[in-house]
Amino acid sequence: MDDILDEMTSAQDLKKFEREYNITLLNGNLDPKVQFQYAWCLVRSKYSSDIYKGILLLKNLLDTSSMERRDCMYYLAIGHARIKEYNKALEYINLFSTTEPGNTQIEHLESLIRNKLREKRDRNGSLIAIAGITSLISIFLMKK
Amino acid sequence: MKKREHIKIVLLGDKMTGKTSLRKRYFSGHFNETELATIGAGFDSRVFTLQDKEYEMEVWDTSGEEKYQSICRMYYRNAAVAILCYDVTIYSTFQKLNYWIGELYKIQESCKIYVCATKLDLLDQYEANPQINFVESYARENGVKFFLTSSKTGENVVSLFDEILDDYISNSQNTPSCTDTIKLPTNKRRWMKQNKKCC
Repeated sequence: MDDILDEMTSAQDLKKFEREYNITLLNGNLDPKVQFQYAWCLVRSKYSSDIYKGILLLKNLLDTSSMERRDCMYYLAIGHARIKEYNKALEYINLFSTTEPGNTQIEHLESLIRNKLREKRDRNGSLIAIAGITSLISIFLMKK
Repeated sequence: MKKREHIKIVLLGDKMTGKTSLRKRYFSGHFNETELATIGAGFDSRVFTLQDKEYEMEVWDTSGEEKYQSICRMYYRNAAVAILCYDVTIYSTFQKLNYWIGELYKIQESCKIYVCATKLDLLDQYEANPQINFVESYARENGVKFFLTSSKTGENVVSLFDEILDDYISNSQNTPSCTDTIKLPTNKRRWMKQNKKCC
């Protein structure tokens, strides 16, 4: 494993916490802790659809519950980074700058996200360059 | 390309017992007096080569906060080693060790345990609670190794990890699969039973 953005929840664990969440939801006594645990599993899933669902659950917690905001913000940053929405991930990281300046755990996550963002930009840059070169060659061949 | 062997180490213990400080002192050599509570889990790794074989030591330091206790169990999976931390001056953190051992064995029975009393530097001002000789007997009785460390001064931090790696490597050299053969503490069953009762 290279970093915390690569670690994943197993399907078995995801099912377990999903079951727990659904039971409390059906009983009408949804516990923020249970919601957080399920969302935590979802944002670490290998499927994007799960990650989106996890993000929604965490946003809901952030708005409505007494669950510690820092935990939700941290995993919202991880969730967005895992679906390659790096700028949104950095927005959540930035929220820590006033409350916890110098928190090395946050700084570490931020540097991972910035590296991924740089890689994505480099990749996009290369693709644009390749597309440009291909167009120039096509024009040149057409003129011939 | 050489095949790399992964050595997964988890740090367990109550909140504020210095798990993150221990990991950071070992990996970066730094100490932060006002370390904040870990969110979920922290991670560090180091690759090294020994006798022509490549290893990667992965250290997971899990949050001691209650809300993370059930989800952090996932980190115990495939852990070869667990370092159980308690604050050398706070008895309740020592009392919780049996709880952590029980939790660990529910997931990873073959994990080798080391008990670590953190914040050794505090003994200049405060008494050890419980007494060190009591913890030494506890460790002896349960077949686990015991270390006293200070992440503030760095005392014994490197020797703890060195000994863990020495034990792991000497064990894995004797047998093809380390996880199948690590000797378990003699009263593991008692820990498991105790834990079943309380849950």
